[in-house]
Amino acid sequence: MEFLDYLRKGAEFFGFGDKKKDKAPEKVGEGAKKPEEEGFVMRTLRSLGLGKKAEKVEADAKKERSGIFGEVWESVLARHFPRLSKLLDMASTVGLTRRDKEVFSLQDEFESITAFTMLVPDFLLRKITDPLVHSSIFMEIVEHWPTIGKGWFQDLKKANYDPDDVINVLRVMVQDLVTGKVSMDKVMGWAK
Amino acid sequence: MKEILALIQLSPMDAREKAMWMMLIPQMEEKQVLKLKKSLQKETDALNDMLLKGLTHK
Repeated sequence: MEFLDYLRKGAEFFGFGDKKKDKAPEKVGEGAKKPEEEGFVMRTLRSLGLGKKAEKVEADAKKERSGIFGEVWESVLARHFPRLSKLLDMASTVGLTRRDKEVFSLQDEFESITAFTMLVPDFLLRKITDPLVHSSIFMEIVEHWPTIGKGWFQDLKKANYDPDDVINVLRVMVQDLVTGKVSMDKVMGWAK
Repeated sequence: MKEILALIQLSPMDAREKAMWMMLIPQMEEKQVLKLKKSLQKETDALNDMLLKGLTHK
């Protein structure tokens, strides 16, 4: 679980996630930043006695941003680091990490099942992916998909294609549907 | 794009968080950028309102 520790440290570095438990809890009003690190607005608000209120606004905004960060991180991982993305999904399936609220029904199930295909040998995985790559409708959709490069599409057309690529393509597609980059109406149009 | 970069620079985030968002923005989709923009705008507006009220009531 070393990689999870690295991720936690990375998230902490950027100010997200829980701080180490051995640290003394911060008192309300003390704030995480030192006075010299704070901007002019925060310093002025503190001098006006509005420090606590301003801290609450900051904390709420930080919470909101951490949600956006999680979303961005997931789509970057699915696109550029598919293996790591699958490992993280596997970790969340077995309860090691927290899962985000699903955008559509069966999203969690889809992500878990496709993540665990990492453990399935290629000859078995091909039994599932072969019908997909031989389907003209599926290949038409892959060809039109804006975030899937031509290189990836050409790789799927090869006779000795890597079945993991098909799974990765499906995961990218789901990510795009979740973030709203591609709408279902468009997909239905390509499938005709 | 310029607008979101200006909002990041003006927001009360610490320097490393600002740097992180600057790096992530090119990887972000339009919808996510809009979400971030809305969140930063809301935070900046709330702090500015507070500042204005505080200064005028002193």
